[in-house]
Amino acid sequence: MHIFRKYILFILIFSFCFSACKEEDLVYDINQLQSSSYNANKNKLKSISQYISIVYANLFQQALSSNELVEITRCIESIGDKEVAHEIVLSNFMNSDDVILPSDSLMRADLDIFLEDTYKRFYVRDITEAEREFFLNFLNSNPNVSAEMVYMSFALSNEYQFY
Amino acid sequence: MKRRSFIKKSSLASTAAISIPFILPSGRLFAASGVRMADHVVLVAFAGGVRQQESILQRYLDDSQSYPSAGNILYNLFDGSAPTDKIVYGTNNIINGDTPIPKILSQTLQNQGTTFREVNASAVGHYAGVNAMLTGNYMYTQGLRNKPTMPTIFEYLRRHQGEKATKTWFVGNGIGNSIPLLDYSTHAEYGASYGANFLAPTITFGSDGEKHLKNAKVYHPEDELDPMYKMKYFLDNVWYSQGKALPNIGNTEEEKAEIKQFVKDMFDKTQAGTIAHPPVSDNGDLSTIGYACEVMQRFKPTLTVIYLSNVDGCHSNFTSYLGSLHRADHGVGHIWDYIQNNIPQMANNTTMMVIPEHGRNLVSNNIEDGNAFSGYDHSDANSRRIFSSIVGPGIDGNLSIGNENNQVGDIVNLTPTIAEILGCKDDVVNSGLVASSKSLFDLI
Repeated sequence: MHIFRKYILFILIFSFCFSACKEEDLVYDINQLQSSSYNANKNKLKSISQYISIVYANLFQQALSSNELVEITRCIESIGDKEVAHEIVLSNFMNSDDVILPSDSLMRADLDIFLEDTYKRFYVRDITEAEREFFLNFLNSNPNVSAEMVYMSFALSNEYQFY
Repeated sequence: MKRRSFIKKSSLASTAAISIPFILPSGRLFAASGVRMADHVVLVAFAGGVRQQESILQRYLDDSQSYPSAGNILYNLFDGSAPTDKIVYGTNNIINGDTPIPKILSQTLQNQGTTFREVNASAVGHYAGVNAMLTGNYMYTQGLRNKPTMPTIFEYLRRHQGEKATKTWFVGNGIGNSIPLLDYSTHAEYGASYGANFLAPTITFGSDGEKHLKNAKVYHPEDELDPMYKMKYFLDNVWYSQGKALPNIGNTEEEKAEIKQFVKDMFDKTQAGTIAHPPVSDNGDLSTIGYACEVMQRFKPTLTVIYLSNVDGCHSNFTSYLGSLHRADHGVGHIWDYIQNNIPQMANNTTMMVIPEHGRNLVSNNIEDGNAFSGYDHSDANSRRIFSSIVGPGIDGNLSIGNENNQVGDIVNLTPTIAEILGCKDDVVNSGLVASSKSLFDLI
């Protein structure tokens, strides 16, 4: 009985000590900011086939067949300047009826939402305020810029080459 | 000797030229370092592994299949009469290969230029051989699937002569054997920004390209491309502030537009059947040569390297090897004829060099083809024997250097040779990055 009391006392002291160490999370009434670089985790270059698979899935919302993946990879390897090669392959995609792009009117209807979606779609991250400001100014001062052109510039950009 | 008188005459001119500095596209102020023997060089990597016995020694089946038929099957390159017995290397008429391809050149390259009959090539792998050819180094420790660790001749030329990217081209027969990696090295002082434009036309304009490149949109340069590039450059600038740079060979926007237009035009010409192919164009090498001629016609490159490789079938099919050798000779004849007669800016102002990357074995392997001819690999001492032909302005005609018992020259002399022709040998040698400071001319 004496030993039993000792055990109860020990358990009480033990639980008291640990519950005492618990600290409540402080919540301040401000927006949370990411202090690290927003793209710091993208440090690996996509291989040609990774790049093509991803951009195809992005533009067509379906997977590229393995045969076509090999063929397109060979096409890109056959041209030394990869920027030129990518541009030719992507513009070939854009000529397809099956490519899924937002309409220009939809893009213009709400540029903010379009830009946020585009950044998430291509870069898998949020747009920064500086980027938003640039694109809003650019798109407003260039009314003939289409959603296809914006998508091309993202798909050809260097950040999109990394993951 | 023509070259000596050329050097004497040019020394005065070079003294004057050294005192007249010029500004490279990079913005760096340079003094001209040398006088050019020609404004264009075409290097034909007569590659795939070529035995001396069937090429310059003209022994046909005599020295390979123990069949008494000797003769010259490379009659655009070398003087010498063709074999008369057991003809298997031509086009098909009554039986396969029985009709030799007619000669293109009225005078052989041997007659028009200088031939190094016995040259050493210590690297007996395809990639290592072409690597040695383009870098002037034997990189024994470098494996496949890695870019050269020493600068290529493209990089020397672009860095020291300020050539634009579209003035250096590497046209390859395919994308195997790591060949696309040879457009630039990973050397810290040179690298991608001094690289060449690479093209493997049998892929780009073959069935894969027909399917995935031919239907490419041509965006309007001002209305569409300009804003597209502005957005891309903004995105790239943001990325550079925090991310890694991508290798870029530095084609300007105008050059990129020119290349895209070239690709589009080539699809049209391919469809119309008007590519500048040689008269016979029934294998990959000859098809590649046709597109290489189109590259030269469009861009007038300072340096064009054309990589052939069909003779590598020799491992298992000696008959196809003979046919490919004969066709490579036909293709070389066509290149020289095309430059002289169809590209006025390059005619009489181009030096062409023809050189295999390595030879092939003395002893055959056990693989026999349909004619019961044995195949040859490339691993023994005979594989280190190659020839080299040079033709162009200031090059002695009908000059033969070395013989079977007197080896003169090495494949690593090629980079300094190209540099000497294009007036930047001192820059290349002073870089301290080439194995030999001697050009083939220095060995005459």
